[in-house]
Amino acid sequence: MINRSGLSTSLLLAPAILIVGLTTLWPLGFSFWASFHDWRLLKSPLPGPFVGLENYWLTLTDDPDFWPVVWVTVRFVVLDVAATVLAALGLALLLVKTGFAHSVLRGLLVLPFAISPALIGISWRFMFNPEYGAFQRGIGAMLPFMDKVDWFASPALTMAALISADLWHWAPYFAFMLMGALATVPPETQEAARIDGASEMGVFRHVTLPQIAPVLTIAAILKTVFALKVFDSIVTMTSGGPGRSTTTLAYYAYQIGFRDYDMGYAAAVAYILTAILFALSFLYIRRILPADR
Amino acid sequence: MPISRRHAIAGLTAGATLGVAPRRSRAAVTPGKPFAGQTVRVLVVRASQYAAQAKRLPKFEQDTGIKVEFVDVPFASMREKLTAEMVAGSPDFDLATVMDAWIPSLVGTYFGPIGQDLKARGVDLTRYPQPFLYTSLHKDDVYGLPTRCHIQLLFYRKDIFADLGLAVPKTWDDVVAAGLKIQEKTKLAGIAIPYGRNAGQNLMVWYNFLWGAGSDLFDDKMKPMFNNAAGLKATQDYVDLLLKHKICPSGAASFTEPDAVTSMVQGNSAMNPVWWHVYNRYAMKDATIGLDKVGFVPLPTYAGAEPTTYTNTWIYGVNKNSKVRGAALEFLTWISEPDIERSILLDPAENDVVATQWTNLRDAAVNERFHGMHRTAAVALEKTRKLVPNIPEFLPVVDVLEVAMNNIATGQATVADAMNGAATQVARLVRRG
Repeated sequence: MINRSGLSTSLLLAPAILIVGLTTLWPLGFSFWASFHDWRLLKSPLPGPFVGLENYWLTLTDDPDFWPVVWVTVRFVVLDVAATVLAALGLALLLVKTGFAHSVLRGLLVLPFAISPALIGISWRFMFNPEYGAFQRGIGAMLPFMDKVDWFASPALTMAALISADLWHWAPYFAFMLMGALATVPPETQEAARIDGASEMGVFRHVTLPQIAPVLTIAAILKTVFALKVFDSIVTMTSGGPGRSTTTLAYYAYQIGFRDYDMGYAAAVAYILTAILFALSFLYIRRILPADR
Repeated sequence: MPISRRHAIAGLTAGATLGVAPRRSRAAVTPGKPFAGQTVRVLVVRASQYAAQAKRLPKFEQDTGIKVEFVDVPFASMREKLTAEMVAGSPDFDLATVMDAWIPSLVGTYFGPIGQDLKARGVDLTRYPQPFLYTSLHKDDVYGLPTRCHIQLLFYRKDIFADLGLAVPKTWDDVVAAGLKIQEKTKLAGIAIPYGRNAGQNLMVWYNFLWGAGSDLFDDKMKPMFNNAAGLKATQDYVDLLLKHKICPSGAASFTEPDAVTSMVQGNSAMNPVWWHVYNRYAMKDATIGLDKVGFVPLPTYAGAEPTTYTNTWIYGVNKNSKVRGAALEFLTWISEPDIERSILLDPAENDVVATQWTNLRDAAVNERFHGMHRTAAVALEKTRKLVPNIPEFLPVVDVLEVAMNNIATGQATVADAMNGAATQVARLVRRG
């Protein structure tokens, strides 16, 4: 029997549960169901026949683009996460100190994070344009052999440009996170190490780093999830090119779904990505909510 | 795909068996205002042409008692919007503008056939060039009327060509020779062509190479043929402008169409094969490179071959779920009258170049206003004998080819490897259906 307090709790929670159900659980369930159907919007607005695991099977065994796209995704995620977390750590170490200049810089750091990723992609593409791009001009002036280089015609340079744009966007966010972690490190532990003769690098490596390692791990996991989902900057900056050298799984699923309108197949690709994200999210939750708490 | 006998007949069927009737009176409407009080909602892509059409609605509303509401959507969101309407089976819009490559998936699912209605209303379909009308013809019926059509022209710097004593290119060999000369004598790149990835833009000039060389995307059995000997030669010639002759701007391997246009508009390139609506960029009052310095001609071709043009066509289709179908057809018939289009073309307050009908393409006043551009377009349309296929799988096919072309242009693959690989993938797509 539901008591009065339980009833009011349920009533108060109902709107939230309804909204989450309609906007998250229903689409998730429906797309999972769709991934087992042949549903091509080019032919019918309604899902077609049940095809079992065929969409997954075709994705994994018959799609010549799928595994290259997975490889591109892995490369992007590894390089992007490493670069962003390292840059964020560097920024955090530089800006953790107090003072007017540090405060101003910390304020400025919010700006990249406040800009839409799509806008960043458009701007960066513009700035790398070989004819009139600001970056291009600057790089060309400093490194004459790079003058007139078409960044988006080279897979390696395009990946570098894409990662640098993503790093510029995300590093401040993680820097703030790490500044918080650094602030929790007891100064006495660092002082004690210095008194024992440790160098600054030694203090960082053997005292500071172990204490911020949990937050660093969470930052890396979170950034991995964000990197796996990257979409806006690819659409606006590279269109997945040159060739398919910057086509990641998320963008690939979008293309199949919303360009080719092969919804069942796109759902299967998306669920493969979802499985990876789910595993990482699970890891993340385990990290922030240890079982013994 | 060649304009096959079947397609030609289908076009004429629409015009003949479905209704080559005497032309209606100018901007005619059904007498007696039978649809008075009804509201027609029209989904249009955001473009100056539709803003100009909207300005002409009061006359129609006064003559028919029909209220017309235009809802415009930016190009980038248009396909998603149409898909949402189609999936929902929504009657929200009675008419919609749709781009050619999207039409096959909407035929029967969102748009209903209107051939018999057009016949009854005396709409003469032969007034449209076949390359424009072709996209409306499906299942031996008509599913819309062309409303916004573009053809390709070669824009060139006539001041520089004159200074260097160069003849206007008629063949791709002429383009190479002119491009090399221009780069030798000036700081400009020869020709701005987009080889980067963006909605198949790196294929739009290539189609003309392909057709000019005697190849095509598919044979009669829908088997890819762009990798036959003629297709490989066409592709090699196309990328040689960039890779061998080096007459394209330094960023052309990743250029999208707007990049290529900007290159010429900013005075960095001497030629640009692109849609005719780019004319507007040179007609702007503060244009760095104005119409006094820019000329246009039909796209070059191979020596001995007829010039061709890839076309981009938007049609007005009628929603099969419309609850005011009669009123929608009344509006479609009226807005498609050549005189409405002509009035926009000659309106000093407008600068839209779009003409979809022969009479306007050949109209003396229109050509005088636009420096003969429409007559040039008419010549290209008369000669065009090949078109891209009207199939639902066309967009995935474009993606495969776009990637292949970009791989060649960026040195990641040879022409043969990329095109043979693309042919295998395209065959898979067509087979899967």
